[in-house]
Amino acid sequence: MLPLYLLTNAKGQHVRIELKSGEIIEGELTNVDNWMNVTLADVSEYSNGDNSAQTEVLKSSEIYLKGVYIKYIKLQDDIISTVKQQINNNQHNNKGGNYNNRKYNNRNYNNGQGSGGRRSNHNNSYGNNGNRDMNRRHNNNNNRRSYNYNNEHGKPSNDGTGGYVQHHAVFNNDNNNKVEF
Amino acid sequence: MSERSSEHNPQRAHSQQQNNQRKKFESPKREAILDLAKYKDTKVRVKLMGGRLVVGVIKGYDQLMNLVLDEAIEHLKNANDEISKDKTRELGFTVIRGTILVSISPVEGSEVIYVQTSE
Repeated sequence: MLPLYLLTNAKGQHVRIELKSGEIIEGELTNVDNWMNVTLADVSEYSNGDNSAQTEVLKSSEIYLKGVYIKYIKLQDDIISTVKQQINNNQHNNKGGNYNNRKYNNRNYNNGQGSGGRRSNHNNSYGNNGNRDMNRRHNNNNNRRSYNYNNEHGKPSNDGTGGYVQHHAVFNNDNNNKVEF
Repeated sequence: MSERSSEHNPQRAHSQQQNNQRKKFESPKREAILDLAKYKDTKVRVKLMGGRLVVGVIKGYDQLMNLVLDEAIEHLKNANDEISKDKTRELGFTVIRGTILVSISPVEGSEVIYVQTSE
């Protein structure tokens, strides 16, 4: 949650702003811009002299404040939940448009991953069961055969392990390709 | 390794979702949020950096919030750092530089009240 986005979505709420000079300004947040310049409505300005028994308050209908001069902005405590609600509302209301297209792509992307995960399970079972599963998988037959062939002509090794390792590597390449999409 | 990649990718998907969520927020504005046209020829109270207060009638303005004030009166600080009513200076027709401006509020409809603070 970015500060400026939080502020932008906190419009209409009662805020208390302290300026660098120590002045405190309270009011209803009506607008915020990229530089944290803000406008408030129904404003009360308190000077920083709090020691006297009587405080002078300047009330005005509206005020514009430069963002660079703000020390902090105190928001309502329930602002987070309110903004979350706004987000949810937006999610339900926003149908169509550019954003939704992106969301759709995102979903596809997830599906791709889901299949990737499934495949990883396949791979594990294959590794455990050895040759029988190896033969069941047709996609990587060529790769595996060449590997076995090499093994036969090279060092005496357990081809199940070799096949497993080789296959694993191939699988990862597959998966990486998926990720790239 | 396959497990790690399947763990890693949903995370990426999640961050993408977050990005999309962020997109859904109303984003901060780049254009001016205060239309000074409605204050034209009205009396405003302008606070400046350094604690000066200038009251005047807006005759002109630009996007940088440089202001042209007519009948401007500057209220000076006294020794206690408080802006006093009696210590004022007539500025007349002036240009206020936007970079040192702290706040603008209309004088019309504003009032000073005194709140009793219990100690």
